[in-house]
Amino acid sequence: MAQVVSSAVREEGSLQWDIYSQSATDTEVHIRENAIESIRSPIRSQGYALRVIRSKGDGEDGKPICGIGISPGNLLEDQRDVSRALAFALSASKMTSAPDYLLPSEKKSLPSVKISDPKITSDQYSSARDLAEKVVTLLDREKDIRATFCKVRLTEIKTTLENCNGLRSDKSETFAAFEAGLSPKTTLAEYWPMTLTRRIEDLDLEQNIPKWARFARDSAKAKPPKTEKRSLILPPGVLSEIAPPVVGFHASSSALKRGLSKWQNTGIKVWSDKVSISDDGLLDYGLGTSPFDDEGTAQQRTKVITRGEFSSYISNAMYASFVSSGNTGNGIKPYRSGGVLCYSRDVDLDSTNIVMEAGDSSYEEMIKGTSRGLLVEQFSWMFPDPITGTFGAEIRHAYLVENGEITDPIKGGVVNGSFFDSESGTGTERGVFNSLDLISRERGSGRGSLLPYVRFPDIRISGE
Amino acid sequence: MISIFLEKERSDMQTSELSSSDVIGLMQDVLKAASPIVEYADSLYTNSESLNISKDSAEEKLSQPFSTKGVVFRMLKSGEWREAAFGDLRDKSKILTEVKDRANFDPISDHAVQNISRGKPWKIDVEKVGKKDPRNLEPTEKLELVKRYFEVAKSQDARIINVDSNYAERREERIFVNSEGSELRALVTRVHFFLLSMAKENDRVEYDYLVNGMTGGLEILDEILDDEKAKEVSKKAIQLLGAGQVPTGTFNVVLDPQMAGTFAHESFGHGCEADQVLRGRSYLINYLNKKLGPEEFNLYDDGTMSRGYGSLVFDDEGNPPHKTMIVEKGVLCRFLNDRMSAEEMNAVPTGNARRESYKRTCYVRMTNTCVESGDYSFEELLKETGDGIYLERANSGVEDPIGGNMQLKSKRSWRIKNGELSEPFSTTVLSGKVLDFVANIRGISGQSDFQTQAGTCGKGHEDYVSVSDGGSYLASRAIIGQG
Repeated sequence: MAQVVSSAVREEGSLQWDIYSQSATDTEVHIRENAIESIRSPIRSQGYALRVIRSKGDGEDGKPICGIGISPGNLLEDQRDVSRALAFALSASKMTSAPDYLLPSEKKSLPSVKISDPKITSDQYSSARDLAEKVVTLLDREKDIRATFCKVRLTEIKTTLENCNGLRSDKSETFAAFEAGLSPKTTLAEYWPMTLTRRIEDLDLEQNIPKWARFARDSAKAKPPKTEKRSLILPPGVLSEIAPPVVGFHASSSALKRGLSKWQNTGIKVWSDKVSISDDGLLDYGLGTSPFDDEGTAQQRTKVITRGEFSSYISNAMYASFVSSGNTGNGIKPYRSGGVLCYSRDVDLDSTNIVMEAGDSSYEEMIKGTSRGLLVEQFSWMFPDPITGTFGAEIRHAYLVENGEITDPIKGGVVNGSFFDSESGTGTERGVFNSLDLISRERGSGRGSLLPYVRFPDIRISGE
Repeated sequence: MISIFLEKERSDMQTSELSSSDVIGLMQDVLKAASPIVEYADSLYTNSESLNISKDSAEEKLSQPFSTKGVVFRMLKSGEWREAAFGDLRDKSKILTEVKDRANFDPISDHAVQNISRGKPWKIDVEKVGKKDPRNLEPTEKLELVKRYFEVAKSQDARIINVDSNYAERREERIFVNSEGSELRALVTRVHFFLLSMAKENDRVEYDYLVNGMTGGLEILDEILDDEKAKEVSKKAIQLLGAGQVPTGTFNVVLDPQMAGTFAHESFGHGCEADQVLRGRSYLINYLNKKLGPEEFNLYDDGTMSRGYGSLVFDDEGNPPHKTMIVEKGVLCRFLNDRMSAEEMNAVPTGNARRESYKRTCYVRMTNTCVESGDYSFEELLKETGDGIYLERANSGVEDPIGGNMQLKSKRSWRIKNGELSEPFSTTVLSGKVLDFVANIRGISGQSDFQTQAGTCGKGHEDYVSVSDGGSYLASRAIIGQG
């Protein structure tokens, strides 16, 4: 099909193009009251997107601009479908405007990465059945707990990217998802975990289901917090909801170009010297890991914050010319790391896997050294505002920490803060990555990140 | 049996392989083969096409981010389901083989409910593209519209450093066939506009936005946006540059109509989905027919709402949509049912069974969920509140179906002092117990304030469907925190 596209595009002049095609196979098993209630298999889907880039000379700011047209289709083997997609992409490329750039050329040696679980690629149906039965067994061990709902899903996605410069890259990746509502049998309370990994074993259900069952039991006793300030302790999985979107946004060359990044230059001190953060596109079994980004550029490791100093922007091909660090392989389609097909989305600029360096305190020491704290295991929906760097969310499951001991479970109330210093009526409030006082040696993964436990002092909690 | 099936040519929505009629034929043939092996079977075909046109200070984009088509087959035996789904419909014999293979199963578990609520077969074929079919306006003209609102918002103040102006249309064909003989097809268009202005002063960046959508054609844009509304977005963004942090604690609150709608959907509505109730996963499980709030508190879900973003021609189990009163005069009077939960509850399906697409599971879902208007004015609600917080411009909400807690975010809020609005605050979170919030409702403003807003809703952390919610100004009491 690449030849068909190539010759059709050639008639329009000197244009660049690429074709991004994907297919997926899922198996999903639903469990209710610790028994299997439905099996969905196979769930087969596929599609492709055809993109055309048309150079248009210099824009108003004297920088070269281009027009981009992207059009998806269902079957790459269907020439009529491809012709329709191509006609739309060519037409759209005449209308639109964006910074001009070059697509990567013929495949160089791409990094070797770990993104696939052979248990999912070899016999997905049996693996899903086995996993579901294991979940039922583990749930049965928690005699006082029931799954009001539960689903496991295994996914294999195959992706091929080819372009006008002779590049052709392929990858096969896998995902394992688990979500459940775990409730005490006698109380209206629950713990509601959701986890997505590359491999079945990384769901770590033998460890996690007993832990989540304990949270479910404790949730029945949980009370709302008081309005006060406490040290906030966040586990890696919770920190992964807050930090990566803010770091990824302000480190992006596209935010710099739009005047929205807080970090206008590299080499400036932005956070505490305890903080060192990388964007690691090659992290073993990371959700954001891939040999190539969604434009074909090799993914890499990029140091973003080094001992509190902003060291590098991340960039895709479009915005690479605006920063000295160039293209860091961060041209990523939205939802690529979510275990779903993303072919029809336009390439954006995003972080891959955010990795924060470990500290020198153990988690146990962190708890023992906290006189008045709040350990939050889950927020209702913690999505920070990447532009302002502020965050605030309801506490879904937490514990008070009193004199070095984890004590009463907490539910309700709101925790809020900001990653950046701000002025308030009482003076300057320091951002949490400026004020943080402890970082753990232990690190854990969550949502494609590798992060430690952290402690932020004097965080505002709104409650009764 | 209702029969208004139109035997007309449907060339505009052909798949690359099959016409709509061919798809129906395939679905019927496969169901015919599978049905004798199972107790009930149905099939849903979904075909989504979209167009997004956006402009900000760096890029003008034209893309088609939602593009998916395929068919799912669902089979029931002794209360247990099997499903198989396919995006490539060219090889009918392969689909037949795989579906029959899945249909030929022995249930693994014992299920208390073995069957589903059965319906009468019916037929329908409708196309709802509004008065001005979006396809009749060239993309270049839509881009000009997007550019115009970009300029209107951007030119308001030198401190507006960026504007994101975004038009979206979605064209969705759904075909449903089941072993009872129903044969349903609908083509629906939805139009959506999003305008966001970002203001910067010194090192501080703030923003405000306007977003809404409806089922229908381009005529909707006249209601969603005009120059004055676009200018207002930028003015509000500038205003937020001087906003402080909201005080924290428990306050009397007034919600704007958008926030009241988000409360109706996220905080209250999710607890009314009957599948959650039957799983023991609803804080409302013990409150049916009990009084929860004042007489003027009425809440409904209405899949028939004219131009509602969540309105349906039929749900994804082949049921017609309904207006369902969930709360009447403060009393919780019923839940939303799919076929399985209706059978278990001895109720009737309410037209709320929905899938994101052929790839995703069918669940009980809301459509257009609203708090009915009362008879206060906004000014009366502020005066009655005395001192408190007024929250406006809904940002997000999340459900806690079993715990009955709430998290609603507004982009900004205001201090209410002596019954009047005083200083503004930036992003604000409202929290607390839903039942406490309902019991503390002190008044709802009139129909002239009623507004709906479009959005997408997940079941848990995925399975997103188009919905809307709505309401008027609503006064109650809640925990407030900075967002």
